[in-house]
Amino acid sequence: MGKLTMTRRTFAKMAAATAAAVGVAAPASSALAETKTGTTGAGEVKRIRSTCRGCGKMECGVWVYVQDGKVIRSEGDEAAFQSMGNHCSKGQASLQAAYHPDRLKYPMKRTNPKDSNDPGWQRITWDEAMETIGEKFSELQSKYGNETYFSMAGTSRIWSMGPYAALKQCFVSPNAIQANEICKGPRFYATKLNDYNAYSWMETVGRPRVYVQWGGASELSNYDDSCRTTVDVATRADYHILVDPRQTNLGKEADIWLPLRPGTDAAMGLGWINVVINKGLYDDLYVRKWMNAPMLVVEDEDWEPSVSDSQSTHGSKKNRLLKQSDIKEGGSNTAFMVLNELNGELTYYESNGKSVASSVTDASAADLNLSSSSSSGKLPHWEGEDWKPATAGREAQIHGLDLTGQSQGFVIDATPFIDGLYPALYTPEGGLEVTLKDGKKVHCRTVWEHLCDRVAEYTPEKVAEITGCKAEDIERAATIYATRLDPSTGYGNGGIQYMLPLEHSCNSLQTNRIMDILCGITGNMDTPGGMRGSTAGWPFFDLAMTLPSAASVKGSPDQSKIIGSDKFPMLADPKCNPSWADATSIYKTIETGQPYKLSCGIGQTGDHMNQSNSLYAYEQLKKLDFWVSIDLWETPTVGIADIVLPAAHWMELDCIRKSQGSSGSFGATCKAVEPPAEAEPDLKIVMRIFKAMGQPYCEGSTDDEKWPIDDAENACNNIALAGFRIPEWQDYKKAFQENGPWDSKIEKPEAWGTYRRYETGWATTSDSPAAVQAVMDHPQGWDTSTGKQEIWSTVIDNYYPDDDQAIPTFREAPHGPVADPDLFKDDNSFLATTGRRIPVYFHNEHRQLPWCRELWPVPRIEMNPEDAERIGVEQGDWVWIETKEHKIREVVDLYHGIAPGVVNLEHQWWFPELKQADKGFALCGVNCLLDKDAQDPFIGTSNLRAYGVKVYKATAENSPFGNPVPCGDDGTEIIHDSSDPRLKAWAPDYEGRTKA
Amino acid sequence: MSHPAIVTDLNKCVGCLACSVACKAFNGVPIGSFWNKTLRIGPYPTAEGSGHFPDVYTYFLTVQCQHCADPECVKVCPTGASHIAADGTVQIDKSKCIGCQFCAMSCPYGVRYLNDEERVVEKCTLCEQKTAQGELPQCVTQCGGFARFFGDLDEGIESFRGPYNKTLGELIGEDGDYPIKPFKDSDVHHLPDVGNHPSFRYILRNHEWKGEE
Amino acid sequence: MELQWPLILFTTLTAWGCGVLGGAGALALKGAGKKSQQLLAIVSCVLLALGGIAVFFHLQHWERIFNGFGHITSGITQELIAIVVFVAVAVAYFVVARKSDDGGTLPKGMAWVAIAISVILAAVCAHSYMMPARPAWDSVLEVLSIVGAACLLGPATCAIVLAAKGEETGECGLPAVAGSAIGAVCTAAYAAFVQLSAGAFSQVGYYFDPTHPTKAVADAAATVGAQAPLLWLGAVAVGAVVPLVCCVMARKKGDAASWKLFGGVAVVAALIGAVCLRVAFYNVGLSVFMFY
Repeated sequence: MGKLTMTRRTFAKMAAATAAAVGVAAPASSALAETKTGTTGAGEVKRIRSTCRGCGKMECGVWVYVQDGKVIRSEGDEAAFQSMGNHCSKGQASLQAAYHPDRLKYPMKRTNPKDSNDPGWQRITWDEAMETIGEKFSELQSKYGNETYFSMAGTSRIWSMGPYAALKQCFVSPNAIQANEICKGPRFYATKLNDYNAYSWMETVGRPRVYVQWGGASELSNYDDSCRTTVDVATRADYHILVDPRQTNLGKEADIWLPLRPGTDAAMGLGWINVVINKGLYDDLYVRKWMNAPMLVVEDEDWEPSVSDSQSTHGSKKNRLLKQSDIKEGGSNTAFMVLNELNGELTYYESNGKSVASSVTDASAADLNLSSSSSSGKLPHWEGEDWKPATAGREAQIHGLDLTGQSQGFVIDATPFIDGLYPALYTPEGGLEVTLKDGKKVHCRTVWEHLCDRVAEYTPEKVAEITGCKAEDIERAATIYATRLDPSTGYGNGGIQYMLPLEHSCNSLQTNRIMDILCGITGNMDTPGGMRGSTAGWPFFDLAMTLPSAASVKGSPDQSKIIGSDKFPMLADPKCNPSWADATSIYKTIETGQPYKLSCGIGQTGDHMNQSNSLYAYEQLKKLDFWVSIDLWETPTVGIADIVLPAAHWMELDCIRKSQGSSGSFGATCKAVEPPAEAEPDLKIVMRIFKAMGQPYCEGSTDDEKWPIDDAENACNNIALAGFRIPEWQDYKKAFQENGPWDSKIEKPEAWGTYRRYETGWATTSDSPAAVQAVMDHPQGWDTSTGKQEIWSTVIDNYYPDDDQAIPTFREAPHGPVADPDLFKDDNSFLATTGRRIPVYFHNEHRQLPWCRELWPVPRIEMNPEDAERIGVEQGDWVWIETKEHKIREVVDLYHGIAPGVVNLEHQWWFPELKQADKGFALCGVNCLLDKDAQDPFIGTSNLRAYGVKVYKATAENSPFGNPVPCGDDGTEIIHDSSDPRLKAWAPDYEGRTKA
Repeated sequence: MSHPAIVTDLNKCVGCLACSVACKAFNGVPIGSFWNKTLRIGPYPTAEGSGHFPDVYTYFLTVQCQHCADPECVKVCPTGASHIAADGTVQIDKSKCIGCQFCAMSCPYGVRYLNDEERVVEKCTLCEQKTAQGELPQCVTQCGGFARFFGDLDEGIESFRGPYNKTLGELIGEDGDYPIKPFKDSDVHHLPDVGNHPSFRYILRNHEWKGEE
Repeated sequence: MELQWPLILFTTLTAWGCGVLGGAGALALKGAGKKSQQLLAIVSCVLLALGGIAVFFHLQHWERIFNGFGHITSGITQELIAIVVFVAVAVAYFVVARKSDDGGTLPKGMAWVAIAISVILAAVCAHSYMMPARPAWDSVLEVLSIVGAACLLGPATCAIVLAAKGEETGECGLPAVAGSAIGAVCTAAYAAFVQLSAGAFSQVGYYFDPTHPTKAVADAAATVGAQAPLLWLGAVAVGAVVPLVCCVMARKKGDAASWKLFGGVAVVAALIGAVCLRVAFYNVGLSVFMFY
């Protein structure tokens, strides 16, 4: 198959996959350029340069040491500028996962009913597994329809992320429960609505001079950015601002800490915008030129919103913005009107062009015809503008790059408007009167004025009242953030590292839109240390996605049939959807059979504990006719599977790796050791599933061409490298071994090495395949209906025209103290938050790794000592945490860094040491407490934080087995101390890897 | 006699625990036993604050054998198993250890333990197998916060080296080009000294050091 | 720290052995207990040997003890030397007694040497625990508490032996009463020291050790306070006052039967007290930096 064809196909498929984080995996032979590093006693020690996958995201460069064919340790690689030689605790513990005695090593089928405590796993062959899979899914789909299948996605602990895209194609079903629904997905989708998918990534390695950590702690998570980078950035920054309900590990050093009440981030964000606008600290030129701020909103309620047929990802949307077509017969409905401040006349920005990047990302354009995209006509432009990519600029002035040696990059100077144009942010008193084409007069005000109206309610004093922070601190933080420390650089102080908590209080979409707007108005989009989106590199799209390069022979998933769209219509948008079916709707559908029966599916490290109510989820999953799990372990979710398939660990496979975020590097994960027994890289497993379902994975006519299972890693890596100067995987790997990761700023100067790419036409096209980039158009601006960063969301306006939501707002969490005060009436009532990062774990992973568990044996509840004294509990006590749904236990940690009245719970604990199918997830699992119906109103994201709980001491009298320590069904205590001898039984098993 | 030691910049230590696992991976420390630990100190109300949340501060204290200049453990050892090595570190010759554990009792910091399998006392060796070859201890090279530096206390802590083979002194400066912020002599602390003269140092700027020195 | 039972037994038995030889010496000074002197020397060595067996369970590599053993600053080395000297003295004591005409007469010099080595061994054993790292141990009163235990246990034991041998027990009164009085004072003094030691520990306020999340915060004051029953009820009341009262009673009555009864109670009570004191001793044996 020709490279270009393959690339184009891959590209199109990829686009169809929407913008979830994914990638391409591939290893075959392990011809490594191994570096010899002397000997230590026994055999020779080799060191293999690689990229860690101990967490769900960050690409820390590492060295894996192998002696006598065994991995003996791994260390950080200082040549990896993106991670600075960092290798976190869980990353270093990876070898204990690779060699864990409890690893799944063979395909297995269950022999006991699903309510049994023991699944009765029985080893089967890969052939039997695949035959059963092919038969069962085909049978159920022919009976109930394609959509009866759904996938469940984790975060690719193993490798691939099939459920986000490939498995949807394989089974021709849009249905998938995806972890990104509650992690990054809302941020990605918010930016997809506002500007471009995934511009929620801040270029932390660009070392912003004001470092704002908002609800995150990458120093502990080590995903998004490495600990070492995070601490380095914070230390070098002139100011470090922390917005977080609790004092975080790095936040202890913050210059300003805004300890807001959980769930009030949106109010805080609006408060910052209020300060920025009132103090005139916004980037006037950027706001007018690159945001839809000056566009005109028709105020008259009886006016019927008109459609704009955008070529962008947004597609055709009805909205209240005034278009040329509204005032002129034959006018363009993608020419958005603005008032020219210089002459008081209306003018426009035409957001469609002869071709735009997004037009080729249309899923239907599977057979992309590149030549036809160069039709006549202009690229998007202001009236009278003959737009050309900006070229003037200068080298960035990022401090502190000397240690890592990364390059500065080139900052395009902000370009002025063409002569005679300066779009107004404000209309005359009472609004601008405009005559429509039918002669009717309407009044218009700018989007900016609407934003001003919205934030006017959120004065620092008002925000102080809502959030519990001090008004002067709020004002000071916003002022420091938005006041340029060095105006001579021509760019702002940096972006905002806004994280998960903003997604978890039932206002996820709007809160993240607020953050995106805040970064926009302060001029921190695509600037050094600003919001930059996903790195352009090789592969062109994120990490190891399983991306079939062949088209489906069974048709495409019908997005309109996605579960959950009755409640959340945006889920069914043909192009601009968040890509998931919300978890609660899926589980409810299993229960009710409405609107159709869900009967079967595949989980690829997917688990039921990360969103919706875990107990409800588990009960529903048990009812499925057929479930397959691909995993490393017998997790609680694996415990209800019919067939389980053993996956390889990151030390056991070959895969190109690119920064998922804005770190700007790409390298590789290189196989250090063979997988144990019959475990396989899950890319290969996904390919097997395609084969079982009769869907080609690669183009070709023979089975070996369609499903190159034995060469899966190699083949896919070669696809990913198409267009790079080192196009062959084996050569690439060798170069990586010698030199370490590549700097995307150097390798992709236009797509990544240039800042302010909205000025060059690369802001939205940088992550296209190289071959496509070479011939495609690069339009200015952003990938939205208006071509501008959308303060006024045309998509939300389309779906919720009467809800006043086009400008984002704040909404109280449904079970917080304001919306549900009854939950907060007695001494034992607390407002619960959760999800804080635990350095030795990645969410629920690594509970069975001794080096991790001994450093963090049990889940803890952080409580202010004043509260603890009041309710009579002490450090180390087990307490019950109760909602009307369930009660769990965690251990009290007296923590002055959390406000009285608030508790911080750890999330998603389960206990691999328990000999039972559900692994005790209900003992301490925080999401068992959730109201499954509390969801974000637009995209269904679960309410994971900011709800009321009761907390009281666990005693022998009120605990099962008379034991405050949580116990399994047989009364066995969970491991709760580093001295527990069971930890030693989990030490690496170097012998048990050969096939038995 | 030199005094090899580690200095930890507590303003940069974030309790990521990478040093703990690094030590395990490199030194084969038994599961359940520790050569180093990172304790959380606080959060405690700050002296100048309201006495309540949110006027609190936390720091993370990395504790291991302090390789004292005048080690009690060496004094009490009946066999000379615990000794000051030629490089100035405190080491245990396991072949001489009778497992009496008086050294463990005499250590002010509790960092020694009996290895149940070998039935001898163990503790941090400062990765002598690495430092003998001019390399840095594993807990220094793998420190997540870039907060740890190794060197000879007699040469002054600014001569200590960390990742990227940089000395602490080279990295100190006020502005963004420097990842280590300046500190005063009074910002440099050590664990409680009961006559053993611990060699390790801790830099803590702007906040109260808890516990005696 | 955790209770070190082998060491608790070793220390108690050693103190007992010291007390017996010392008590024998005291009787010898007055020419008393002639029939029992040889036996007392043997008893003291037997107690020491039992202590040695106990300590065997503490040392992990007993076989290496002769392999480079002898670092002189070590308390264990000093103890071993003192034990060797003690045994030598006890043997000499036995031989001298045996060679005397009545098989129980000892020169005053020998008697004083026996008393001296007994005090020295008890003190040396106790001194091993005087460590700056453990504030509740680091006092000369700790040393005196072991010497005191020897005083409480030894003379009373001697009196029982004499009574059992059918000897005149009149001369037992003074050493036993004086010994138990000294022991009571020493025990009480060390108990008081322990109770006042809470302030000597490093305090860091709130802290957390990730490896033991279910443990309560280390609290020296609470730990020390919690020892009050063991110290005052166990070590002082039962372990010192009861023996003292018994010895006074026995001395008043003066007969062998009384010594058998009261002496027996005194020794058992003193043993209980000694063990209570050692248990409390380990309970408060926190290091100055007690958070690791």
